[in-house]
Amino acid sequence: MSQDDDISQDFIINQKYGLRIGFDLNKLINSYSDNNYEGIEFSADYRIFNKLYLASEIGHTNKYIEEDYINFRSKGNYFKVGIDYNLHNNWLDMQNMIFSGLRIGYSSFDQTINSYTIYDVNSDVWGLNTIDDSILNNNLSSVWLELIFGIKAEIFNNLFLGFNLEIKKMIDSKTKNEIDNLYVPGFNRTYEGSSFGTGFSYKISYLIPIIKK
Amino acid sequence: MNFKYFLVIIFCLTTIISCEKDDICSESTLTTPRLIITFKDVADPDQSKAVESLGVYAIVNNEMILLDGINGTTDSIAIPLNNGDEFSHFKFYKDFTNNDVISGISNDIYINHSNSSVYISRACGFSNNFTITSFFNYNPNNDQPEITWVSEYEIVNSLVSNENQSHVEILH
Repeated sequence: MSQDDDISQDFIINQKYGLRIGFDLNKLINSYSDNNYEGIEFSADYRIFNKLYLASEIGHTNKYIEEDYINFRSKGNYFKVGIDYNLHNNWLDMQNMIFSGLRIGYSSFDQTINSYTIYDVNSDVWGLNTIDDSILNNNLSSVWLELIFGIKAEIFNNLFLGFNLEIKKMIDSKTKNEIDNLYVPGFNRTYEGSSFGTGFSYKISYLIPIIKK
Repeated sequence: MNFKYFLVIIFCLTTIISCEKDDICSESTLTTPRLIITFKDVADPDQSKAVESLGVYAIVNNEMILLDGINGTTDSIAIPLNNGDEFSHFKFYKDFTNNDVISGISNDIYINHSNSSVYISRACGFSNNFTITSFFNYNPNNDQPEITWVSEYEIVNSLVSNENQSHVEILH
């Protein structure tokens, strides 16, 4: 009997539980390659059950966008919190994830219309006129829900590489001067007549193992 | 979970994302409104009275630009105002012909207005609303103002925010 016990003991697979922290590589690369964009996002997750993780992201975005008739800048911070659920059954002690997640996001930001061209279909007479008086909308905020699909693969011991696809649904967006919030840090671009948004991130993260069970 | 299903989900999602419509400013969008002028009979201001062969020029940087779609006999016109400055200057020609030489009876119309931007959308940006602050049936910059056929006028709506109603009545 005692021998059997010893053998079965050998086959117990210890799963690592701990805090995983990371950052978004995609946003970092874009910050260097795109003159009109600065962004950074840190993420953390903590495994609470076998397949369930508490997850959170915190980030900053400063983005300048030129549209046909408007040039504007959106700048601010955001915070997201929620869960990730691992849909993948791992072999042995592997810790890869194919996961789906839910988040609630909050962003606090400023949006400045730097300049705009008056839309006038009869501009052939007086010409198109561009107004350079900027319109500053301070202290805006938005709240949204987010559905995430992603992968995390352990490429080295405790080091993970992955990506997320994010579908966002705006719940509440505080505007000023009757001007739409055209780009919300964390939510990204908004669409006319639609409350949905999208996102993508490339993540590098490191697991700090705390317990094994 | 099977990896194949996951790829199918990713494929569907990226398809949905890429099919999100682009914001294009549609033709039907309310644009910067034009000034609506209706012509009335000076003897009986309730009666509209058409102007014979009307031609309207905008004076843009001392150049005369003929407005499209106005030449003819009409009792109401829509003319664009200058959204880049706070005045608009026009010459209204009655009995207008333009066969190499402009002929007709000309009358200056000079309008001072304040401009205010109104947000429309991401794709269209802003339109401009005008508020008429003063209206002249002559050129106020001339030492000797000349009034010909535009005898009187009345500002019936000083706020030009749409083209659904008359803003100014011209009596002749």
